[in-house]
Amino acid sequence: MNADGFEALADGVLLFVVLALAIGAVLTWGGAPPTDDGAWGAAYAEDVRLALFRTPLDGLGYEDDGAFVVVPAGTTVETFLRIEVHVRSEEPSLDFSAANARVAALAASLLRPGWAFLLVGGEPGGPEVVRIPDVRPPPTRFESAWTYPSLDGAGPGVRLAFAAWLSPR
Amino acid sequence: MRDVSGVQAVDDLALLAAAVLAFSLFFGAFAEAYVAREARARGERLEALADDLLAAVLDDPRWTVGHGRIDEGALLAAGSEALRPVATGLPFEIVVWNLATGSRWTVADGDRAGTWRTAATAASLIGDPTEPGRIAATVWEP
Repeated sequence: MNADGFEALADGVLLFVVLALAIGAVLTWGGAPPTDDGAWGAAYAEDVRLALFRTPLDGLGYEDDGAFVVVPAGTTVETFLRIEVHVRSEEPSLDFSAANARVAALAASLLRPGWAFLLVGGEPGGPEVVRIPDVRPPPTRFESAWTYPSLDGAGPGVRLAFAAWLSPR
Repeated sequence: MRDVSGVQAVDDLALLAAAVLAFSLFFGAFAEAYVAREARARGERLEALADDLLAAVLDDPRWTVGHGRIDEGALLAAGSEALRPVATGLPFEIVVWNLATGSRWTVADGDRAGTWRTAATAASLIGDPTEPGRIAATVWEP
């Protein structure tokens, strides 16, 4: 190969390198992931929480020393959870498991397939009193919460939080 | 003995082959990136429209009494004409699923075919009593 040949080879290699870099830039441009600020997830968690809390369920109640205490028919999930937090803050041994299972089933039906949830309740800044269901949420989740005044007008009030996250199975 | 012109021709041929290969790869990658970007832009546009449609179902005072509290009867009476401007004329479908009764009903418009995106959420269907529901808004682009 003469000098011209080496020059042609060098030109070819240079062209190849430049275009390889250009290909990388073009593929990066074409494959840029969509931006997501998570606002839609927060709005979704809020919508599900509102729909859940506004729903009245008949026959909700709890077991107190073998006796089933029924709350009035038409009590919304929101009011029932406020009652549960209020009552269990005073008496943690009361059994709300049957009613909580119904609330969990309703929440699960409200969520789109592939989503999981956690409902927690307690006094603001205090320990968790209600946890439906007993799962550990991932760090990446969308949360919607509300703080209510105390049911009897005294005391620290109640905070109910609903968290939802994608959980494909 | 080698012919100088022949050697130069082979060198030029190698350069030409490298150039053809490199430019083919470049333009192939460029075309692929362009198509992917356009498809994503189209998907994002449809997603935004589906979100707008869902927001209209959840917030329009003609059939709601506050965010996410839907009067099913009023929404059905309003029909697809009321939502057509939101969908900017594209085919769409609203599905309302009453979780208490299991009933589902649909408001739809246009020939539903092509690329589609769906936005969905939960809502309350007002009545006596208020019932939980799921709402899904889908928009198509031919």
